[in-house]
Amino acid sequence: MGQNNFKELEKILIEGRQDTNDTVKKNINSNINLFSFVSNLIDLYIPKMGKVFTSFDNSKEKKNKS
Amino acid sequence: MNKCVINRIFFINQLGFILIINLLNPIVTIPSLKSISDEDALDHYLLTQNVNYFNILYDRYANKVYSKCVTMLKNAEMAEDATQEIFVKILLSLSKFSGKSKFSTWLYSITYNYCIDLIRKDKKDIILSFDNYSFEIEDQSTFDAEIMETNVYRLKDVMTELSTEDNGILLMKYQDEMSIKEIGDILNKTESAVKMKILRAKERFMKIYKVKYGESVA
Repeated sequence: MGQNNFKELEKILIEGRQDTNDTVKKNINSNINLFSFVSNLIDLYIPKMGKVFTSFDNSKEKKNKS
Repeated sequence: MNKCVINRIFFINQLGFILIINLLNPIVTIPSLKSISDEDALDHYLLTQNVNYFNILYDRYANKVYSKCVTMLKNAEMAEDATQEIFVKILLSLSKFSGKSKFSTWLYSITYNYCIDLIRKDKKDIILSFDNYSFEIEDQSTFDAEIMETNVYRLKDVMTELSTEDNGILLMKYQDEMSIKEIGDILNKTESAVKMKILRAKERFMKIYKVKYGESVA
């Protein structure tokens, strides 16, 4: 098979790309960090929220009994 | 010490731990970055959430995704935005990647569909009518060779005149060298429908080339 100029076209377009690659990468990385921070918070605190509600409910019951 | 105070200290410690982990995440280095396969990088990212693994994939494919976007959207700024959006989309749907196809095929399928959807949404696509023209491409393989050998600047010129969908089809076929089945999976079409779409895209390519340069490709 001869030359494939579709591949050449790809190279030319990449060479002509302005130097914005790092900015895009930084934006994506900050998105990743935000997602992972939020998911860590959810992982850690959502189960604890259940406990908070249960203890809150229990203390109400105790108050009612007393 | 009051129980409430202890809880608060525990809460602050945990928060601090999460913050430190998130800050250190990009700093942790990965050995033998270049030799790792796409699929391994993806698996490691999902397991460790280390951003460096995702960066490997970004560094490998960002320029290719950009070049496809700029060919299909015909606008450099839109292509930059699209590249970012596509990688965020990839990030959010990593768990959907089944591993049946190569990572690159999956990434390109998202790229093509994103660009086609974007143009459809903006209704900016070029609608060309070729009712008065008929091209008979008798020898597909000969024509394939000739279309691939078209002068690269003429190729670029003709592709700016083609619709986003036709550009996408031609890029999948000639630039990514995808099989008919792979293209069909990406576009959610049968193999015969894909063959017809490729044929139509080639016909339109030929027509534009002839109008622009007064000679046929073949």
